[in-house]
Amino acid sequence: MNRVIRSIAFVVLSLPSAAVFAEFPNDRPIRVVTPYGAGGGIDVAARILASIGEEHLGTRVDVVNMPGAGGLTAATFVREAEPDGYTLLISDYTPLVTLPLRESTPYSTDDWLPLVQVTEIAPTFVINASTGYESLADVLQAAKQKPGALAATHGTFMSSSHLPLLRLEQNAGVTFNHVPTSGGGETFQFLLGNIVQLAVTTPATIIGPARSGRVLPVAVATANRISALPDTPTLRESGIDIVMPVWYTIFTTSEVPADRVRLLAERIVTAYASTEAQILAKRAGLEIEPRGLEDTKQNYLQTISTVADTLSGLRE
Amino acid sequence: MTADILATVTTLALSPAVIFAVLTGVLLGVTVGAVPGISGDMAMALLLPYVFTMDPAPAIGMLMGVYKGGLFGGSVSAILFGVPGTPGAAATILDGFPAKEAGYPNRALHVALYSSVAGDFAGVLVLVFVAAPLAMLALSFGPREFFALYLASIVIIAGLDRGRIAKGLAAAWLGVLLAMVGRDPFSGAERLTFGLPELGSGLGLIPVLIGLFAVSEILLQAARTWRESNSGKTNTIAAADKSLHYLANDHLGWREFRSLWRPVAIGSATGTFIGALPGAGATLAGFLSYGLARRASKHPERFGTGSLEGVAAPEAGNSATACATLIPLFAFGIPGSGSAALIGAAFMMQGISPGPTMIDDNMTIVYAIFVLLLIGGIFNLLTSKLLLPYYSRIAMLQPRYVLPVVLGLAVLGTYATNNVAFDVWVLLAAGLLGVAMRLLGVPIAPLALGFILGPGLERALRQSLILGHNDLAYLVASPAAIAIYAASTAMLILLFRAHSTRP
Repeated sequence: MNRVIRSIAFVVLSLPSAAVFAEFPNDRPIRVVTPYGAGGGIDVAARILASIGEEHLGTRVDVVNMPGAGGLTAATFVREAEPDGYTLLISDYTPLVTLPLRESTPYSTDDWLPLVQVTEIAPTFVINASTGYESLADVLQAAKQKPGALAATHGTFMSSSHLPLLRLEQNAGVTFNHVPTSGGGETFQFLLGNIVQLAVTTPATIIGPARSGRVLPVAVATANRISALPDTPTLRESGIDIVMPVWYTIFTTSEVPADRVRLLAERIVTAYASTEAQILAKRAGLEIEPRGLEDTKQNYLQTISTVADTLSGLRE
Repeated sequence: MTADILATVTTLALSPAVIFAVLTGVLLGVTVGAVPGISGDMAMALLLPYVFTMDPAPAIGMLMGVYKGGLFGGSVSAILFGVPGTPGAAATILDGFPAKEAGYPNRALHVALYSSVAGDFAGVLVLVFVAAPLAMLALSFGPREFFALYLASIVIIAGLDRGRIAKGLAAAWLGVLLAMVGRDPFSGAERLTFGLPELGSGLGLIPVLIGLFAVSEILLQAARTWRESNSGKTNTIAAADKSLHYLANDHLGWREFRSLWRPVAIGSATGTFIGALPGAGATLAGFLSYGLARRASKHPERFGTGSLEGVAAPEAGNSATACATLIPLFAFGIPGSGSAALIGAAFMMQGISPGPTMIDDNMTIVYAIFVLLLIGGIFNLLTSKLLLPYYSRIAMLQPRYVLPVVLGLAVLGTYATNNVAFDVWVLLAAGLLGVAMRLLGVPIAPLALGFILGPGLERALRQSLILGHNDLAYLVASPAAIAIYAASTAMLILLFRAHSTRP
């Protein structure tokens, strides 16, 4: 009798170890950490994956919001997590590129392995339609004549809306009076009230007012024109060679085994490309165009070099 | 044509799915609002993914229901426990909690509910009829006007407590100082963090508010109870306090509520205007309404001791912001507050792009939404009225049992906001600060307001200095700013005079 019990116990106890042999990623949920709070663009993109992730990835996908310290909290958390492919980070470039290049962080840009670029957002330069300026060239000319007299808004210091403005100044040789604002709401308030003459923001924020003609988007900082604003020229078209798109990319850390990396990337791309995800994205006003490992890595490296260049230009 | 629209709107807005969504939203909002630490905003953010999958009308209906319910729910906790369930209810504590201590929580709760609903309706009416012109006025507010508004509000609230104006001002500026902990918004430099990375994002609003108002109260009461039981004899005052006798006729009559029309009107007007200003908020509206109502009251001395006027005004004020905060969103596509941003996100998810063309492009939906807002207000009134007697009974529970539960909920709610344990330490530290302030006779409300308005105040000042190229004269070179400064100086002089002519 004892022997029977003991052998049954042995079998039962050895069952969990079989989990070790379960195929990745089947035994635990995958966590996607976001460095910002609930409700923003990145959060929405993560939640789209979470809602359809299970059928494509084979396991539940959970979104974990960890706002704080400009993204440092979330990034450090993911960096220090087990490199087993279960903890991912979805972020824009501020915590992962700008932050380590400016201050000492517990990680560097080499520690991150970009998996899938989910969407790309164009930094958009906007002016008040009733000021008489009709293009970016007009604004730049006025700024050249009166350095520091024209005011331009941007979001948080050194954020993905501030850097394009700085680069524009470096490139075009002008100086604006920088007015940081607390976000899209305040930016608009000041632009429409003519307290500032130029604003750097995202297309989603200004589509409504642009359609009604109150504001005029004069340039986008991407390689090609964007479908939401087909009449707005790119900075390149206006003769200014600046391409600094804001991407939302899913990362993991560089120590994760290559086969898991490939698997995750493939499946996440499929998930985002699915009809369901596209419908959810449309509803949320996000244009989701997933890019695979190679393209995403290219964009990541490109951004690192552009940001590093901009920052060193500032130090001079 | 209008009959057509009306018909479509009615079918849309009054469909069972929508009604159910609004009802659920209101119930959820009131419950969540009543729990200290969890606010309506949080609930709305958590609902967003679920709302994704709903149709536009029920989705917006539910979110607005949660928001409105939350604004009233916060007052339940404010009145019964002296804890702001939502930051917007902070000003309601000033007279709401003393009202409960004095034995008439039921009247106070009813006044809060009716004032809330009145303010809410005022907000809806303004939204529907006056949105565009009001938004134009709000547009003329630039950084220097905002600075004037914030500065004036802080000074007025600090000066409210006549006997302690200096202490009030000190508390207010301490609050502003505490708000500066964290990263400098313009340069990103860390300030007052003492090298602690957890302080990099600053002190959380929820832990500070709850710590100041609630934890300090709980600690003091606990100390009193402990001292009582240790010394063996019953401290008569404490015993009388805690035995919670209730006035036999703690019931609100219609006539009595009617007599409160003035604070309700003041609150509604203030709340609507403040709500329409991007960045100002329910808390500011609550406090400012309180201050203005007191100024206009025939019995200002009763404020702070449980005056029902002191409950009506901030409640009408903070609820009026609910719909008013949608004004910049509807008129310009600018969300004026976090909650408006969430609603804006919900609109966009449904393919409605907020902004000037929104109303023209989506007329039926927008009118349906207006109807929904009204329905939401009515449901808020009905459900809360039904549940109020049960809420009041909670007040009858012995503090000995209630307070630990409230403290537990406060700690959990604080932790749940950001999953950061540090926030709980902030909560306790704020509690100790609150205890010290109460013992030293320094008023807490100005500190809370200074803390809430601090970031906006600093930002407005620095933006003004940037725009004015460091010329201080820029700050006063605007008619609106001058008007605000003049009005608040006049109010302060009157407050001072009232104090010094007292025998």
